[in-house]
Amino acid sequence: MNQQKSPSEDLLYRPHMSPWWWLQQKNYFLFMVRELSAVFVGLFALISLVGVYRLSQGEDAYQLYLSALQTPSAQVLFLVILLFSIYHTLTWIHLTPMIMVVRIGSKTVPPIVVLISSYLAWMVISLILLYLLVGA
Amino acid sequence: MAVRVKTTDPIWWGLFSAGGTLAAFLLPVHVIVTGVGIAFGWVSPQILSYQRMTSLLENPLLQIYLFLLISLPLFHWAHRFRFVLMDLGLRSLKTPVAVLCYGVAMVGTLLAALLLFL
Repeated sequence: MNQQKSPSEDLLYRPHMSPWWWLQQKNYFLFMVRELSAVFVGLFALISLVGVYRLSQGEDAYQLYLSALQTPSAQVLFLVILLFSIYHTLTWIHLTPMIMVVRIGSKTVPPIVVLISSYLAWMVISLILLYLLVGA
Repeated sequence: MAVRVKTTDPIWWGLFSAGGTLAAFLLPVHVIVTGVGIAFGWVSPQILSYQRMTSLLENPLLQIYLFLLISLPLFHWAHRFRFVLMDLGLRSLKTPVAVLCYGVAMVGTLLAALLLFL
């Protein structure tokens, strides 16, 4: 292994980059959209956390939370969250075969099989979850 | 030769990855039903009613499920957002950015644990 002392971070060469570098090419832009999808994924978790908090405060407080979920601004917010959430799912599923090499015995499962399986798993899980959320 | 790993990166990457996978497979339906569906009135808000939620959350498995549904996506956000901020020019603030991002996720996780398990 290379045991050389790594230079201090400050001494590394770093070209100056505009904070807007990701607007210069379509691929950079899509990369940034993918990374920013995490903001909306996190936002949904945060909204859920607020719900759990309001639930702990009792029925009246929780009712205010439920009312806030039905306002026009909530409609816009959840639509945006949904778009980014689906974009996250698509990009995540497409990255999986590149990161994860699946082996069965000594054979490697072709990436396309991993990809299709992921889509199938997403659909099956979604249908079950849909049933549990609204049906049961 | 023993290789000593002197970084916490694998932990954060693991949480990021777990959160990303959980969000990828579970979140769209949750957003459609309890987000968009209720907001537009396609789904009855009764499915999130106080009575239903309090009785559902007596089940330890559902407590754990909701805990993971809140905590792991927060760590997913923290890890990605940390690198977004650095990519947007905050590379000189590497440590504060990391502390802020993972700190928010840890506080959120702690709150979720306290609220759900106590």
